[in-house]
Amino acid sequence: MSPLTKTTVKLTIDGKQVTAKSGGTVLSAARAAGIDIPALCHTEGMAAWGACRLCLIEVKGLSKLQAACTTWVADGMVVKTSTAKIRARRESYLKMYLSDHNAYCEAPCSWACPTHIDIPAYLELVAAGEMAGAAAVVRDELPFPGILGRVCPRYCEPVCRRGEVDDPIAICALHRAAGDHAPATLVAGAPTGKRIAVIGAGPAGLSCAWFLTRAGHQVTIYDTNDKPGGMLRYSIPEFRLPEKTLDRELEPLWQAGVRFIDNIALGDEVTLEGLLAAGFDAIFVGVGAWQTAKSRIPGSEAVIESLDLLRSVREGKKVRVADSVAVIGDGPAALDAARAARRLGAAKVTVLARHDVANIEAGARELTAALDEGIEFEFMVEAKRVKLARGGKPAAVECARLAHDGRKVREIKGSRFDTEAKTVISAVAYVPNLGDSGEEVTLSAWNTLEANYFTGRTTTTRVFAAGDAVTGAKSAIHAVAGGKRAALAIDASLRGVDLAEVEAKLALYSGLPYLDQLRDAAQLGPLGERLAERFPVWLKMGIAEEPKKRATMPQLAKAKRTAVFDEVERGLGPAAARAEAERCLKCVCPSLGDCDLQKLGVEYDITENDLVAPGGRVRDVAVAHEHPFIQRDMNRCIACGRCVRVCRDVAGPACYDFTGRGFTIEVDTPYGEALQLADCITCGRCVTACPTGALTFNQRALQSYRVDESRCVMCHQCVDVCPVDAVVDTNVYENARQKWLELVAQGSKLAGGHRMCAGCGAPIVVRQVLMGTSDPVVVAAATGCLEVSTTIYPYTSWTGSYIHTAFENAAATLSGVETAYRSLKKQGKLDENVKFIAFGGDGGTYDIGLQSLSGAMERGHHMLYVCYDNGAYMNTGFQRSGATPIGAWTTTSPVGKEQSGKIQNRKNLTDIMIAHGLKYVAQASPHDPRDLVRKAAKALATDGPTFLNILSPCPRGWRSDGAETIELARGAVNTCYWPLFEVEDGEYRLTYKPREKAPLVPWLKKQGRFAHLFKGDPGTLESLQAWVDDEWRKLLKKCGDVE
Amino acid sequence: MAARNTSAASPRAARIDKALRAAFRPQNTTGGEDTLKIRICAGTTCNASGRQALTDAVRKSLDARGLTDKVTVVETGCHGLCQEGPIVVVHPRGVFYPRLKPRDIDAIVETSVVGDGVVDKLLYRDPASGASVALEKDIPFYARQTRVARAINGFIDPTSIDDYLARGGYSALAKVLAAADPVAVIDEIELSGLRGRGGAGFPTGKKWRYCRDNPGDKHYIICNGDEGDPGAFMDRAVLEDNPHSVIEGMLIAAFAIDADEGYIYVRHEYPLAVARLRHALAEARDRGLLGADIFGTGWSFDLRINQGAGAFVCGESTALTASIEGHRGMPRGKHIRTVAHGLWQQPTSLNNVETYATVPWIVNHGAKAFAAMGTDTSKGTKIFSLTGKVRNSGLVEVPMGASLREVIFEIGGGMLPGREFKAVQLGGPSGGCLPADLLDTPIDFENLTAYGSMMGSGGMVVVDDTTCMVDFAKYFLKFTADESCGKCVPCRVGTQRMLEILERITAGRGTLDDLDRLEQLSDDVIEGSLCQLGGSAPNPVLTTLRYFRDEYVAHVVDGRCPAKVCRPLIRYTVSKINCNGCHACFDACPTNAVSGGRKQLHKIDQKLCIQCDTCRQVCNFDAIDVDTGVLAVAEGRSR
Repeated sequence: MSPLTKTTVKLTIDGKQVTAKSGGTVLSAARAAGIDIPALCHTEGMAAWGACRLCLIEVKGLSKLQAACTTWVADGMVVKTSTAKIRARRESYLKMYLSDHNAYCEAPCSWACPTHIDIPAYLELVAAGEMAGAAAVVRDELPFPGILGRVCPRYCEPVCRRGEVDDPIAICALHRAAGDHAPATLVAGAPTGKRIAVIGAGPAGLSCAWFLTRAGHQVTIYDTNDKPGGMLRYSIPEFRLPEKTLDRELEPLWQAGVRFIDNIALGDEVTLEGLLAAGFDAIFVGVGAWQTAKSRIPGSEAVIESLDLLRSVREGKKVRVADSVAVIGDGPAALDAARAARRLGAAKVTVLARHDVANIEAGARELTAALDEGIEFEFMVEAKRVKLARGGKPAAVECARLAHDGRKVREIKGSRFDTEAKTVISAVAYVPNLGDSGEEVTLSAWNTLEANYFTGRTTTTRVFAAGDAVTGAKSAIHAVAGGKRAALAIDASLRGVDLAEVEAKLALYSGLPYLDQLRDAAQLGPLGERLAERFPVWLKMGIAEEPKKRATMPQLAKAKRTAVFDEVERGLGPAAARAEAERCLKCVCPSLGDCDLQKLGVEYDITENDLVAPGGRVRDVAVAHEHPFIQRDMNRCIACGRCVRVCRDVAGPACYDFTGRGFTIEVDTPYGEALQLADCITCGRCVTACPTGALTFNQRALQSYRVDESRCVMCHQCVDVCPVDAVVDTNVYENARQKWLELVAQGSKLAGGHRMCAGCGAPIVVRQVLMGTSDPVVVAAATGCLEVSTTIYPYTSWTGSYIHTAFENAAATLSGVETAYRSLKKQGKLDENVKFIAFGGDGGTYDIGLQSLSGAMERGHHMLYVCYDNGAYMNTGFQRSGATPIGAWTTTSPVGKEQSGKIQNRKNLTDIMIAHGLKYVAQASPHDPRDLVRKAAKALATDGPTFLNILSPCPRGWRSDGAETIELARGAVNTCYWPLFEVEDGEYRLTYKPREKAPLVPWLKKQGRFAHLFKGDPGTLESLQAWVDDEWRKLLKKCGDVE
Repeated sequence: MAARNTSAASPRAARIDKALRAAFRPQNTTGGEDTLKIRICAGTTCNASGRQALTDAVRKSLDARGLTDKVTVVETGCHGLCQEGPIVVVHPRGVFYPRLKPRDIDAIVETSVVGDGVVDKLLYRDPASGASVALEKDIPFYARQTRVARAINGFIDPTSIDDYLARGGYSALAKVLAAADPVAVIDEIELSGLRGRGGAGFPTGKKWRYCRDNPGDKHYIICNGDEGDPGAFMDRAVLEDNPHSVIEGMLIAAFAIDADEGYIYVRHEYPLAVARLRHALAEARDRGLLGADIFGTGWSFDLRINQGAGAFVCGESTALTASIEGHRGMPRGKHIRTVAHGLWQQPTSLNNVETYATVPWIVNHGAKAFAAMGTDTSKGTKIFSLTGKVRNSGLVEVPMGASLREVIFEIGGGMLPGREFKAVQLGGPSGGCLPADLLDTPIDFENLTAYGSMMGSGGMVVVDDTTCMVDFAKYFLKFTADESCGKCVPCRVGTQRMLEILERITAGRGTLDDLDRLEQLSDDVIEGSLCQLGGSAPNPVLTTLRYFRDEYVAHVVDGRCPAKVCRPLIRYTVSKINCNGCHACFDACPTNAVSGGRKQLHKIDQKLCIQCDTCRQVCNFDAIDVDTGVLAVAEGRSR
């Protein structure tokens, strides 16, 4: 039946009677009837593609599953869309998709952090060297990075994806670095006239005060101690958190007008009722948990409380400990006390831990620090009795060993032993001491305050609470997070938001399954979204990443550690911090929550990837940022072809098509050029059509835009699309564009049919250079690949005048020709304008030809010398040259036991030429023809000698794929191995700055001449990278560009 | 003579008959087999093994004896027995000389052309008895075949339309045009039971009927000559040997479905076939058999050649159509059928080369004669390209229903000396491997499918005990994985993941779970693939798992490759008994892994050995031992 026949048919889908237009597909019919059939490649309104194989359905009477998008509806058809059989297949195909989807959905670090710092964002800024920006991102969620960066138990790090490659990113050390290098400021919001009392100047109270101040409220903090900081100040010793740092981090609060009232305890001088009566609009209670659970073992009367010890030390009081010390407990306070005891002179400190080594409460970081300081541990023991000597002082602690018996921990019979200890410190547990305050607050069975988890609202009106007082003893980061949530809630309630409603919504929301949460997040509103604790689901995929060492924290010399109270961890320097932040895999997907593949992955419960075994193939390509608005990350591409079809069939330009086949299929622009060069009209349809995060809109990080001339292709798009006419068309670009098109139409002065190897860079270089002028040219070529392959007797590829000279004297010969020309012109025998260009390879330029080149340049002839730098003597059998990079294999820098490729760095010829004082010198690359031609034109228009050094990949000598030449040239530029710059009258100018300096390794891996670098000692690799980094840094400096 | 079947019943028929006679130029033929002539095989294989030098020698020899005018020398298409090339047959007796060198020619001319004897030492020898066989027709390879599609291929000069016309060429077309009843043609083809020879086996008559009945601006006809299966070369041979048989078949089909334009899609890798086709099309146009107003009937039809760029998937009908249209060769869902919306969205009938070549025979001999051959469901004959470890590799045409044993052992001459039959891979890279106990299976579409293999286009690769079945399956899967167009995920990713598992197994790193995983993945790939490339790609894996599971188990459990093929699992050592220190392996080893002085026992350094097998091949004393198994691997090098 023709699809055009306007009749309807009746069919049954999943038991539901559905009427559909004849000629339609089952997929459309089902969707119209509200039955969801998953489909990744289908775009409504376009012809069926039938490739994703997820819209499979069972049709009664057919044994094979059918694709719903390519099955016509028929009268009486019975269709099932979600049977076990179908789901099993979909699951299989989803696994296949995900095994080829080398990307992640969510960054686990941000979610693991109780304060939900946007970790990927600040790591990116640290990597870019923007510490102040990074610190600002951190302080948006966590006001005190300098403090938490020192004491945080780092919930973010164990989940870090980088751990799947090597070690997690040192996230904590990095936000400490950001905090240390960028002093905090707190700008108070526009005054609201509301006053809030914060009781307790610990992490919860301080954090609450910070966010309230930012919202414009006036905050007064009451605390029982002399100084603010709470547990941060009084239980964490100087060697972990210097007082100086603490004061510096809190300073912005006082600067912003927060008042601190010391030595006042709740229930004593101030009461909640009293404060409210005194005109405070709300009260935040963050009094912490300071009460020690009293030790009940015999002899405990002679025991020192760890908190007392630590506090005394902090306050500078004289504290004496005996030679041998035992610490009961294994939490952070126990370890702090133990380490303090060492510094107070104890020779032997033993920690009596109830847990085994892997599970001690203080965590591995503190354990290592303690062990480093010579502290001894008894794991899995329980202190039974403190044995007292005469005079009531401790002599030893009697302990019993413990063992797990499956469910419970039990004492091992007959395992009692004594640990000698003349001082015994107890650090068992802290609990809130609210019972004594006499306040009308609801307490839980554990003596903690009852408050709503999301908002901190207590049963008492206008009283909020968070921190240890609510949760019991927990880490500082939890207290900061709680204080922040409460501040947001207080602010909202003061603005009239009904918190009960928000709480109800959030409670309901957090009970939803993940997918529904993703969908419903927007309905929560900004406040709800910030308070919601959506636990994310992560799809874990293949990784193709080079291992790179995690930064090590510089530490105080071991010998000094136990002698002084100076801070042990010294913090990462800016360079180390940058290097560390660069390790971030940026595993957050820009399409998070909006990705069909993620939704299906979650729905079908595929979060691990068992289909791709180690060594299996995964996509691994660089993200393309060239386009100003459309970002392409082909690691996330599932080759559904929606962009291809929508661009071709709906939008029109046909920017994309498939390349490669089978597993190597990729969606790319024609010839792999930048998207904006492929007739893109920036309509964004491809992004909208993309079911995953492969095509996304660039996040606009900047507030204003500037045309980067080195990238602009004069496509006119910005002028066309700008909705507010903010972009002015100056005609300069349009003229330039026309000129370019004319140039291309002119044809080349180097004819085809030459004998250069397939994929050789040199003829491309030559053609582009020759496009730099429309005047007649005289070309001289030194002996080399170019010369032998373009002038095989009796043929020549040169349509103009051409002279071949010996290896070493192309420049000298051409200078003679140029002199003759000038003479003839002077005599009036010639009136043409002729340009003179010499082409030389490595040998003809870097090495044997250098003297004649130098002479010609020095004599000031009006000529351009072009070096096509291919990094060795290629036509004679790949011998090393002055241009060969360190580590590269050539036949005269072989790879073996004694040496691993070339042992010297590349000669910087461009610098040598600049030193000749030439009017124009530039480096160029054939992957960017516009830049190259512009430079050639500039050089040829200069009156006097000029020099261009142009990279020319050589597939034979580089041992690379001939089809990769342009990519390799691009790679050389993006890795900054071959920076593009020009020098006019000694003025350096960078003509292209890569958005991100790419690592060398992937580029090197494409070249067989470096293959050995990946087998043995990484030394050469490192020195090559170091050389590139160094040269780049120097160049940036010369160009007056800040890194 | 030419227009055998036409009758002068109607003026139209008479006109056609006259036109056909006018097209024929007897003076240009190379004469029948009963004349004095020398037939030289100029098929691709014989060309590759020195045919040109042979032709030159024949001409020179005849010239020297002043026989140039008396003896016709004809370079024909492939004779089929490619293993024995280059081949020369001396007529009128039909004396068959295989594996000739130019130096043999003088003796042959002297003995068999000038005289009437045979040069016994140059004759074909029966591998079984060792007795010489003089005449072509007595050689079992030829005697046991039934040739329909290839009836005259190898006898005529493929570049001479007159040779074709002399043997009744284009008379089927004339008959069809004279009758002027297209539907009757379709009825006849349907009655013959002819099924598509490209692999799927769809009834040809039925396809034509659907196509004819579908409305469209115009109808197209396409010949699929994109033969991409490794080890298959039937279509190439037909196009090279007798291009007119395909053109005539297409003309008949075009008339039947009312098409006026057709395409022949040939692989770019078949340059000779393309050249022959071009030549044949020009000849046919020149004689009024193609182009405008064919045979003066007012009916016009023309053909053009479209060369594929080497993608295997373009043998799939919808991908092929997309490729002709200038798009990327990607198949589409079968919900839109080619017979309704094919090339340029018009009703299109697409058939394989061999199918078209069979059509004139059916028209000439009648559907019943064709249907008399074969089995209940599969009628007629089928050409197979027999390759691999078999004595007589070449082209074989047998009636459907012949057993594998007949084809491989009787016509194919069995295995190479000292080797044992292990399996036969049928139907190209997506066919299946059948073991020895299925050798008596009659070959037809349904039977092969039932055993997990398929007819495919007729490739038949025979392997013996020196082939590792896991490695063999890996080879074919690698082919299909590489050739997948990448459109649908089961084929794109599934085959790649399967390949990775096979690579793991052949490297000795597989587990028993991997076998289950392979089966599961195969099932997923077969069920979900968009076209038959993916839909059948797992067949080699599944059939080897089914019939040769023990080999897989040996790899994963014992780390042993029973056929001693998988390099990571084998070890080369020098036999203390046989080695006489001749230094041959020492000199040949590319990695200098062999040590030991002359006349001393040699030793192979396992760390340097790359298992390239060179030492074993050069050793004249059988002194290189190959072991496999856990021990072999554990010693020497790590996996």
